[in-house]
Amino acid sequence: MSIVYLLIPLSLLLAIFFVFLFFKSVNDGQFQDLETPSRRIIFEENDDES
Amino acid sequence: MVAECTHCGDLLSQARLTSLKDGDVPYCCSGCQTVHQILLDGGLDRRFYSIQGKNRGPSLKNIPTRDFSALDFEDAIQMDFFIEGIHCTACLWVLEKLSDLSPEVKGSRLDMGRSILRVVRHEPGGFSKISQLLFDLGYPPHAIRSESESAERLVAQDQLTLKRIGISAFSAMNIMVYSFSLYLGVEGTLATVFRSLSLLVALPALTYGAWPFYRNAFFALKSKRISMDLPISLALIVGFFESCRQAFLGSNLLYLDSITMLVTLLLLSRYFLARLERAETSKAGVLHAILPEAVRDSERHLIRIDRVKVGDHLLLRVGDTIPADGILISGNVAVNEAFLTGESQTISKGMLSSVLAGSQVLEGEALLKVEALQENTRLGQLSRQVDHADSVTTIRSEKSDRWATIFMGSVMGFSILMLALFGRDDLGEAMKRSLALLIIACPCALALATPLALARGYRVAARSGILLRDPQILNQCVQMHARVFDKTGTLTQGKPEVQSVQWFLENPAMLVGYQSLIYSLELQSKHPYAGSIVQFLENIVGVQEVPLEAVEEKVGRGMEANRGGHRYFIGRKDAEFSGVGFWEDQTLLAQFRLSDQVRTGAQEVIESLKNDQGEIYVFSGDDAEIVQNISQALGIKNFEGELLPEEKASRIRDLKKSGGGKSSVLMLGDGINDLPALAEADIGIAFNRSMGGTLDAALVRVPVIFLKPKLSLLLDFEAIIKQFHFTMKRNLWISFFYNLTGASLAVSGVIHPLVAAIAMPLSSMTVFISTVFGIRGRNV
Repeated sequence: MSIVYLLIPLSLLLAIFFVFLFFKSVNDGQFQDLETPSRRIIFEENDDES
Repeated sequence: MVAECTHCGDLLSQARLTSLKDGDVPYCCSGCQTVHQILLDGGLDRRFYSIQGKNRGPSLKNIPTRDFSALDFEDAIQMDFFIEGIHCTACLWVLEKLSDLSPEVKGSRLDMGRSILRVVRHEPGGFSKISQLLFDLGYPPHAIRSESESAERLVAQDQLTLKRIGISAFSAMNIMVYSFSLYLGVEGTLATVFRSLSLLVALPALTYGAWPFYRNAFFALKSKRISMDLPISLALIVGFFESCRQAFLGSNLLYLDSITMLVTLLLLSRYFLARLERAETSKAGVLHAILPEAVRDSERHLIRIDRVKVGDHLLLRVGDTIPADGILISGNVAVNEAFLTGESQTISKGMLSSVLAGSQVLEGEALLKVEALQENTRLGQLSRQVDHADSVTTIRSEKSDRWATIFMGSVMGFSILMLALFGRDDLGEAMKRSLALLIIACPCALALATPLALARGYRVAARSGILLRDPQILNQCVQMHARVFDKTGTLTQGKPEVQSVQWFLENPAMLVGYQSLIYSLELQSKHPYAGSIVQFLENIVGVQEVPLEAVEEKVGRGMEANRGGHRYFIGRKDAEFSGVGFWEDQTLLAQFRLSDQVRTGAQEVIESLKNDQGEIYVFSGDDAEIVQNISQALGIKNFEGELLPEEKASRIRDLKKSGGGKSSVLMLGDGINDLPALAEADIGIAFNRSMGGTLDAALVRVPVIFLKPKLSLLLDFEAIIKQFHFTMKRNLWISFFYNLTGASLAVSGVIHPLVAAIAMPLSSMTVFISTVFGIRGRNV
């Protein structure tokens, strides 16, 4: 069971890392426009061929 | 022969078909031709039409031209535009390919949700050419003077709230893991570790995350108001210290999981609501100003409207929106004052006649002496009445929060009472029970119920073409006391259509020739009647454009031209003449009768509304006789014509009074002349009178907007309101039941925190499911 004492801090660190990533994406404005990117993805790839 | 327009896919009119030569690409109108040509030149056509597929773009027939020279003022590198008519992925694609179409553009990015396009230039310069390109493509742009400060502040606020939600969720989720172990009876060192970790991890949520609650509660206290944030803050603070105490005593009953989860859910629901409300107000805010930003002075120089003073002289040209109230000091113009009077009549204005800001110049050119500007104009006064009504709306939405506040207040009262009653015997136990009560009775489901239902209602409405600018309107009373309709443009098409033509010809074989002549002549006029006659004639076999000489426009009267040695005139020779006449030299050859038609489907909608409770009224600014004819044709008993905008509003006020506040007065209108009445009504609905056409900008501020010219949307809307009310009632009962059971168990001290931890998300889930299935719109 003593492995728990290692895993708990690790899990916390991981969670803090996720929070950091979340903050970063918020600052980049990723949550400002939730509609357009889902449509933009349809054509960007094919565009390079034409 | 049948041919489809290459761009929009509409069938070509007969006139277009006959003039089509072999090898020509078929277009329904020159607008579509322009768009196709632009795409072709930019090499974007194949891709555009393949993305668009069957979902073809709107036809560009009958869209008036606009002058963008005012935008050459801006010496900017980037500019934001509100774009009309965005409807599919192909729109997005072509708008972001703007750099392929114009050498000036470096890049462009579209936000579809808000319909805002940001265009960046290679080097600073004007934006008139780019605007014209957007317009020619079929996306009428409205320049926004770069994103205003307030908009940027809103974005920053949004991001801050998101971060608070993130932090709180982090705390809540981690604590939940620890709490489950504690509830399941972990003992010894591990328990101590979990307890201390819980306290530690709770801190970010209770400080950074919950900060807005403390702040709001503080300000509410300071201004002696009761706010829902006060009990929430109290519960959070007391809950934390009590948990600390429990932890030191070695108890596993911490409330940290509940209170951090509460913070997360409350923040989330508030973010949800704020975003929902903002999405629409931002769209509306863009169109606030319908008056032009730049005008021409008497020497034809462009000047900014804010530099114009009373007494200045301004030039009015065809297509202009008149920027200020004033008097004409030279020249003649024909104007459309539909925004004020509701009549789509063209009015001729000569020397010394007064004109009103917001009217459209249809023909002619004149000099205007400014008498009133901006807020002081008639239009400004009308808008102010709407602003006043806006503040009324806010009061109404606060009322809907009262339920939850009352609930919280009584819960708090109970817990204090309990503390006072049992505190003397066993302070610890009393503390524990009242806390359990506070936390379990915290109206999580209740807090979620309203935002969820509003958001769902908004989505369902949007799907059928109804824009709820103020989703709180769904909270309005579902019982209809009266439904009031405007006539012009609402019950009727709002534009004249040719009813009948009477020909006075000696030789019937000449008919097609004359028809072609009229068609060609009217093509060159911008008068609404001319458009209707063109539309009528272009579907007749054999009619085509013919060359004319010495074409001359008689302002407000008609068109004149020479052909084959005769002088032809179409229009009204004098005010007595009814309809539109066609003269060869002095001989009357034809008489067109035009009138406004009842909208298709109006009859069915009115019939089905009659089965519901509530009287139906027609209030119109139009001629009393016309109003009577239309109303009687639809079987409506209550009608009144020749009403001024304020009179309409006061009629609505009277109706509201007679309703006694227990039932709603609904008003459906399409013009700015309906604005005061729409603002006065409990439920004001703005109606977009024609597909693809633009809604009068000022109407964008009305709480409900029907985006499609279909009266049946009213039935959809009422169905949504009814479902919303039913669902809200059901949600309230669900959360009430949950809270009541939870509270009574907490008071008796038998509830296990594990049960509470499971029951809390469960109740929210039930509310969620109930909402999604409860509000589904009509015919689903």
